[in-house]
Amino acid sequence: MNLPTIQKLVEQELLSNYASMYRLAYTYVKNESDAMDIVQESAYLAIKHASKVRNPDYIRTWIFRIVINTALSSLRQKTHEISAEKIVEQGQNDQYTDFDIIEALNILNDKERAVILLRYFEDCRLQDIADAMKENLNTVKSILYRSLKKLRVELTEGEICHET
Amino acid sequence: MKHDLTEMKHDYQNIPIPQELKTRVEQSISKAKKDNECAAEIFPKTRQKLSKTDQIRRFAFCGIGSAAAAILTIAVLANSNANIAHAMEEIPVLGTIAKVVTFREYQHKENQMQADIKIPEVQVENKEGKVLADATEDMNDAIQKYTEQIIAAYESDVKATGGEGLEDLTLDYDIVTDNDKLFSLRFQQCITMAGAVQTQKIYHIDKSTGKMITLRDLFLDKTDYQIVISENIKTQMKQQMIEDETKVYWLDSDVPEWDFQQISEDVNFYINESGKLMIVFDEYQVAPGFMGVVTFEIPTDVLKDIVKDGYLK
Repeated sequence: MNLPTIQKLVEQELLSNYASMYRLAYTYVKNESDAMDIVQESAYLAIKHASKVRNPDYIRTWIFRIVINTALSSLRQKTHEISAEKIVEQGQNDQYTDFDIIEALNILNDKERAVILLRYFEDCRLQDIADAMKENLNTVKSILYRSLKKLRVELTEGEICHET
Repeated sequence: MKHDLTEMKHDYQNIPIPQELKTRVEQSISKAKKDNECAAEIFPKTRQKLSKTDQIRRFAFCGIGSAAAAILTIAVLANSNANIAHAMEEIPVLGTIAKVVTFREYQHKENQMQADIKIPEVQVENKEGKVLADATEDMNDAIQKYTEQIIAAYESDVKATGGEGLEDLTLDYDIVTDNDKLFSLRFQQCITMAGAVQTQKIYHIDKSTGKMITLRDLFLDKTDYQIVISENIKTQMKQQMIEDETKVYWLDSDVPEWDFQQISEDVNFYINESGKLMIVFDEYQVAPGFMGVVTFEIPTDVLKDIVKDGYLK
């Protein structure tokens, strides 16, 4: 497939999925301004690397994967900034929106979290997730089961705490 | 379990979407598309062996405050071969002199859009003060193509937005190196739209010969300088990532097709004041955006067997 065609497809996917991209980013950085930066950077990267898309069917999942990678990179950078300016502990709470249940995802590692988000929240096909993550299908499945198991533990503990 | 996930998904879908998100996504898309075109168009037919696809000129969006510089290098040198380089070593006479003789300026201002672009002209002379027409023309051609392309990009932005856009573009230049061997003219471009972006471009003139070169011309024929330099850079990347976990390079990453493999022939470079070779990568070339432009100093020891005499210390 030639570049203009694939670029056009990527563009269409970006325009119909930017809200999902934003939500995905938001679950990682948890504030509006960073989440917007991530979506913007991801959109740029997606067009820029459009030529690397092999299979047009999984463009959407591929874009989500870029968002997740960009979000993770940004978090690493943030950790760095915060440790450099420890004294200035301010601001974050104002923008922070409370999504308790989404917080449960924190128990997952990067890959597990990505699989859960893509599979359950964005309804991506497992095969597409596997392609986008460059894993084989069975690996993705086992990550998924492992994550669900971990999540159940987390949620149950949460409920117990709540009752007492 | 099912219930919990449904609830989570509900919360997830209730994350509010900011209004300006769509506009910003559209901006990103149009900028990336433009960059893809630029990458193919810039310097299509110069006399140098610059490959079209490797000419990378990116405008990247970055968070406010993390604006970074990118350097694009064009080397201007002579038909230098090993023997000539040697001869020059033995007779320390400066063959040519390059000077910036004049500049034109492109200025535009309309509402919130403005541009200030300085376009220098360079003159290359031999030691008797005679102007070397070919070298001078090569250099100025390259400069003209580069600046025209920046102006065209800006003008198309003005046209696209009907002058109602928000853009601030400046292009300035300075002389980054002027030693016995090299004269290097650096352009610095800064575009402020959604985020600030800086890009650079450097032209080098070999004073001992007076013509244009690429990185290849610094090295002896048939040497694998690209591999030697790339391997050293990979080692440095690994080392940096071990020492500082906030540093990220695309090396053995989980997106293998973006991983850094090898420098291109026309990779950005310059020689710093200590005579060390500096390799410069644009944003996103070898690392995530937040790393900005990254520069690697290549130890001369690593290159001593393959580099021509006189360039590096």
